[in-house]
Amino acid sequence: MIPDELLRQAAGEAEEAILAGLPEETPHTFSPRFCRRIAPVLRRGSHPHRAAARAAGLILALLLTGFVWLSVDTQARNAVFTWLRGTVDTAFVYRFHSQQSVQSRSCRPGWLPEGYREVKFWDDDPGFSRIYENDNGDTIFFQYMFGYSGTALYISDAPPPTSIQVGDLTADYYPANTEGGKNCLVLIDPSANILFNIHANLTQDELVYLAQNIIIENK
Amino acid sequence: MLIYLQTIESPAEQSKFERLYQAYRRLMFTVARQILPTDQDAEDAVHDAFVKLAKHISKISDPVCPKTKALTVLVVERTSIDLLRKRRPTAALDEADFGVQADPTQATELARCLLQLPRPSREILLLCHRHGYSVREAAQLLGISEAAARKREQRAREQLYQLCKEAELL
Repeated sequence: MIPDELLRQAAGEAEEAILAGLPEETPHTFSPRFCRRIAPVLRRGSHPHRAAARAAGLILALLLTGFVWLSVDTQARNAVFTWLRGTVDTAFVYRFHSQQSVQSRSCRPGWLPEGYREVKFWDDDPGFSRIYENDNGDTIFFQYMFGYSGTALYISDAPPPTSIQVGDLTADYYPANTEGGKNCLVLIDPSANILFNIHANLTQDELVYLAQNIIIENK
Repeated sequence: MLIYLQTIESPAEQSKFERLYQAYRRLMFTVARQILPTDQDAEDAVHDAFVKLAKHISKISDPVCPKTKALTVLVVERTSIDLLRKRRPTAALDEADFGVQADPTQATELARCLLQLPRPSREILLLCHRHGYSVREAAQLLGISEAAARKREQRAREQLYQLCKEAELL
């Protein structure tokens, strides 16, 4: 086996050769579409002083700038340990705030429309995604995220959501805003601090039924 | 409707990420455009690469330095090649034909050995042994499973060992 030190040396020297072969940058003006998509990734970086606020101050600031609480109980609010939904420019943002992280668990739909099977599982902790597909190539994107400081889900280019009931919980429903587009349902389980994002060519009722039958297992 | 997951944590990391973005977005686009057929595809690859980098920004100590520059190129190359495969699922692609061609003229014999490795092997070794990512983190940056990354890293080390032996470096 190659010694670690030699491996590190080889990697460093190879990288120098790669850098020596880099092409010259070509001038390019990024499209409005790109700028819109990259903005959420950069936004907090543009205002580091805001992000520097401590949890309590941050929550106050979020409330003052239009953020709203989303179905969390008093104890969770007092513990500053929850997902918050708000808006930033035209995007709806679900952000987790806590000084501690939530333990990851395995989640999956307990019900799927006929003909769908899981084709991909993506472990990108704290976000996990399962993709289901039927023979027509229709897909269900089932994503779940655990509370982890700094985690945020952005939904942009979408009309304001409507609140719908999923069992005892309130979920946000984003109907497709383009022809052939997918409907989206965002559900927060405040007891487990898990955020679910289900995105599919399913009706509202089907999405609700799917969300009602999510199975959460300990890893 | 566009949906993103963002996982940037501290203010310092956010600032670091923005500096990295400003410094390398055009280079990343240039690299992506050499692989992908349209500007839009290249922009998509740059975006996806930045999302991956944002998640692992904590391992980057200096956002604007040759080491980070090389990292951004590696990530956008991989993202672009994967996107090209999606766009042309039936085409046979030789990864050696794509991406930055290292300049071997000033490379040491040791570096040449590593550069001879297939691109996926080279990538995992660079991420783990140059940039200090764990196998799991490297897997996320490369868009593969942790198990696959672990096997790839092991195989890459063996391949490099053989090449170094043939070059009488060991």
